[in-house]
Amino acid sequence: MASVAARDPKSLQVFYDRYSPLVFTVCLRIVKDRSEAEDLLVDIFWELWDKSDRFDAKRGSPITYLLTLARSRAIDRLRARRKDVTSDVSELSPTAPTPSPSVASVSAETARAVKSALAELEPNQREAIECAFYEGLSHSEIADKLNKPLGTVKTNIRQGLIQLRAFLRKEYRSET
Amino acid sequence: MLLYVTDALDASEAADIRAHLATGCPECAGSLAEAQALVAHLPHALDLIAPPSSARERLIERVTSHDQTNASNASMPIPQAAGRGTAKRLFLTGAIAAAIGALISAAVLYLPIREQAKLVDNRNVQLVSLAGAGKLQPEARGRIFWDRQSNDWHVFVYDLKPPPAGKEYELWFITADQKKIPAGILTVDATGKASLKVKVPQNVGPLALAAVTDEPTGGVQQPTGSIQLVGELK
Repeated sequence: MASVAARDPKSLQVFYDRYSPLVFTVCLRIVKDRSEAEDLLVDIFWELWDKSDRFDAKRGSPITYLLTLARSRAIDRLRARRKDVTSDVSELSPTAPTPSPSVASVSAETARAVKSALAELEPNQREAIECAFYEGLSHSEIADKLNKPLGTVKTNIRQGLIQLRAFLRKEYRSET
Repeated sequence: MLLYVTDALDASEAADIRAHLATGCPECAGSLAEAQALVAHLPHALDLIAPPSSARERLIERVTSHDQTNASNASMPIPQAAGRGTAKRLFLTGAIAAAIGALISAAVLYLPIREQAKLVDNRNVQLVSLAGAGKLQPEARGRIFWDRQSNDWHVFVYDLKPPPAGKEYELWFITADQKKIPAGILTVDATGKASLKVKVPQNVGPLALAAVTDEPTGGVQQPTGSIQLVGELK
């Protein structure tokens, strides 16, 4: 990330090759439109490049920054659009490219940890979290979709995240 | 901070947190980083979908053409060079004003926000939303953090209108069988904020509602005024 900040185009390409599938997947899950997700992907990496001074290593890792940016921009786009979406993201084939072996193994480890942590949650917590973070729905939209009171949705998300954090802490502690 | 990063806060609450974070509070900056990292973990569980190769080409093209434009602009004379000093002075004035504003905000908000962040992260805490009652308090809202372990209510309200002369806002525990138990006086500051920590009395049976009414100064033992804020306890 430091070399991206130093405006080295090759570093940006390496960073893009590593993380673009993750960013594209997040965007596509939220906006549910391939061409919009592609536009977002380009805009997000462009913003990363053009405004690299906004990244502060003391505040978190580059991937946290990138994924926070991706989710935020995708939700902005979704809320600005507010149109019916017809494509079903579950029909899209998961055709991940093969990143470098080290990245792939780190990603696989993280994926395994997050999946097992999600599996430990109560179903209503998991469902609310997935709506919020994989579909970009607001809490009110989740309440409508799941036909539950807004307060219950907020509680489920918050309690789910607290448990998720505890599971992940335990998971990472047991690996070290 | 979990509520902040999950967009669960009202716009003004989120703005308060942003202003507080701008003061550089290290504890809250740490909580924010941790909450963002947690949320950023979630996409790792998704099955990845490869982006089209055209996206990579578009990005490279944009970077290249931007760099070329910058290179050609660098050789151009900068018009109105004298104006840059003015802009710099304006920026400094703005920065000083912002810093003073941030310090004032910090004095008012530091404790409640930091306190709230800790409460939100506590799994023993149940959140209860308070909504302003109709035309009396259309903007008012609040939140109760009910620590089930210590049985304390931490109450934070926002955008309450000042109480009428000779009145104060009183908080009530309301039980499922409609008993109203005084919970304390909420003293509203100039910005419409108030906070209160109160112990839930024992042996009162299940609580159904929290409410705030306007009552004579000093409070009363049974409500006589109008409901200003109310929240359902689930």
